[in-house]
Amino acid sequence: MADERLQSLAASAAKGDSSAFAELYSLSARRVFGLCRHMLGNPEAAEDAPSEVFLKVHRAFQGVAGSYNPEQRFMPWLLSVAGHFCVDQLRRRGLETRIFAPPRQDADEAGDFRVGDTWTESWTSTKEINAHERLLAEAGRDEVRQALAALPEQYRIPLVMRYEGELSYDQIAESLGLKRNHVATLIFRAKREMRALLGPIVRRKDFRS
Amino acid sequence: MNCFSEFTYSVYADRELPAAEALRVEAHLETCPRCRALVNTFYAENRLIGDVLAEAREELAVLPELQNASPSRLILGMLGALAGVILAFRAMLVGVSEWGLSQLGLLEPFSKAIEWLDPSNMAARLNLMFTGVFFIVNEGASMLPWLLTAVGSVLFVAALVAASVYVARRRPPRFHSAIMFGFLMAILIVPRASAVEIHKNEPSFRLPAGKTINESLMIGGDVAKVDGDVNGNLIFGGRHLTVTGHIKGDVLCGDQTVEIEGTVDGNVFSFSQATMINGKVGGSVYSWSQNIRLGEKGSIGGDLLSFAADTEVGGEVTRDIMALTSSALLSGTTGHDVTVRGDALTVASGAKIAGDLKAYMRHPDRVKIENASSVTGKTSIELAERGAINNDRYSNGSFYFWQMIQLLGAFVVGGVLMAMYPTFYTGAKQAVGYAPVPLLRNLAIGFAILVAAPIAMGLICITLVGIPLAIFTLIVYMMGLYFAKILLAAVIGEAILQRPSLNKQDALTALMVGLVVFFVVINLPFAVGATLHFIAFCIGLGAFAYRLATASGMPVVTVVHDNV
Repeated sequence: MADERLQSLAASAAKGDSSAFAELYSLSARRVFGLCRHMLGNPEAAEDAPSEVFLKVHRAFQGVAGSYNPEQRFMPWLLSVAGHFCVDQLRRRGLETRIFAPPRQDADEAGDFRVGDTWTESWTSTKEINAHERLLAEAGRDEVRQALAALPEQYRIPLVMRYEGELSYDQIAESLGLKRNHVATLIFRAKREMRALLGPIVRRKDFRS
Repeated sequence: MNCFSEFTYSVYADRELPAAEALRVEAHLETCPRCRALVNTFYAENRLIGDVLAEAREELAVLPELQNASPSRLILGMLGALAGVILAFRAMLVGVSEWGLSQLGLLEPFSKAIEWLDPSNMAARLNLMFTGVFFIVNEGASMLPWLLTAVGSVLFVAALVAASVYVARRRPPRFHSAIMFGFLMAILIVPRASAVEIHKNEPSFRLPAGKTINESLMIGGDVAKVDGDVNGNLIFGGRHLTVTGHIKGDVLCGDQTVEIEGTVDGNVFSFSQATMINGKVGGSVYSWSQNIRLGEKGSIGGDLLSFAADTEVGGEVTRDIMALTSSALLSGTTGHDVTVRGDALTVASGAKIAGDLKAYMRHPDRVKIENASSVTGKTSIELAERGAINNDRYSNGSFYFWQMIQLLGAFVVGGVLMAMYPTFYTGAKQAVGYAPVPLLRNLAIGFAILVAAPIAMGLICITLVGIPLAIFTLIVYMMGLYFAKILLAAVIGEAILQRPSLNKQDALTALMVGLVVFFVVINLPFAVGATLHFIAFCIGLGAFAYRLATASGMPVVTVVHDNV
């Protein structure tokens, strides 16, 4: 329902209806902020993001730069614009090396994963759901928040794009200039890293209580 | 069948597996409870991460206003600040003069100079415009290079300031942007340092005749005598300065006495106790001195502007003399007009004034014009007013009558506007806005138009072809000025009635209420009414222009404020 509303607003805003554009902004700016907040990692920079992103949206509506097709679902499109915007910002800050460098020291760990691979070592040997995996699902929000904050940039960005921006692997790959499979690997590793981080956090908490 | 890898399940849980692959995974999950549990864990994980990440959306308490790119925000901010400063200055002047402190006679020229900013003073604005047009038509050609230089340098400085602020604002500040910022600030602050020869703490400095300094010369000391030539500017701070050589640039001095016997091609800015000019000054002389004396052999190529206790002009001034002085003695020749404000004026025999002589004196009997002097233009001697307060207008019945007529006129025009262009009218009302940001924006835009439009019209008039265009602009400008208050009144009315106007009757009522309030407010005594009028006026004009710009399809991003 909310989606349909956004869709129709986007369609009229794309035709130049400025009040529809305004409403679109007030309905979806928070989503943009949320994504940028995590991607840029700094609330002040993220506060400027919604208006900058909507400036791009406005240009796309006018066909000045980029384009929007009213058939497209608006929110994913908007968030991909926002994702692009944040990546540009990060690039300018000179963080690209960290995000785009191919996996370094952990490359030997498992190599690139390929879809359809069967049986990893740990999985066969334990024959049980890894304790870490349960931990992540059962951890409290506070712990997850801490773990997310501790995650290295190269993992956090794709993770945020996937789970906050709900962008597809393809969209993320395009924004970051990576191959789709690399994105899948980064997201998988990001969650594994989080489990590893969560272990000590949760244990500390257990120890205290 | 074998279980799939953790990685495959992770991609599956993200619904990113190719369809065929996903089917195979699903088939396996049917049969394998352990893998099913793993996939469910992944789902739960993803949800949890998504939920935690989504919390940040609420960190934003107030949705920032949708704005245009930052440079224009910056410029608007700067204009807004400028408007504020001028406004404060004007309010201060009006206030001061109304409290009767203008006996000093100093404030009047200033308030006169900016009276065209007073929205209620249409005559002053027209006057300014036509003065500007005639000035440019008559003398503009020679001024054009100067004007272009001035505009160019203002733009250059503005661009530098904007660039440095932009660089400084980049977050997080990084090393290279810090260097860039430093560099920009250095350009801004250091005034061509390389081309200055500096002599500091020299009790007596002397540049002998025949010697030339190719750059600017800056001297700080007790006594300085410049007999040689200086190709740049001469800047002096000390006790005595004597110039007998040739200065190609300007002379700027703050000292006890300055004597110019030689030649100065530029201007002379003198903050001295006594300024004596017996040589030749190519430009103008601006003097804040106790005494200024232009000797019989002295000449000034431009204007003489004097703030001095005693002003004595024996030589030749090519253009105007403006003096704010307690006593003035004129015996030389003046190419244009002479304007004197002060206490006593003597036009000695032999004095020639090619233009008008205007004197604003506290005691007209202290003006002495000797017979053998000649004034080609008109001579007018007026009694300087002391803090005239026109509060008596309130006791005059016709004042109320005319206000009433004006109010009705505005009401009728507003009604017509509303009937003919309903969407424009409502849109413009919305553009006025209640939040501080659109208000400030409108204030800035309105002020910019108020200041820029007459200047722009003057510039258009330089090319004679442009005169019809300028007249058209003038008409539009006047209309804008008039609509501005109607617009604002409508918004005030709605605010007072506390409801938006949905039908015509409501809208007309709101307009009437707003107009009444508006007219009462702008007629408040002392500086209050005038100041509020000015602010209101800028806001209305800004909103009008903003709306006009949006309606004409200019890519102005709509302003939104979050009411949630």
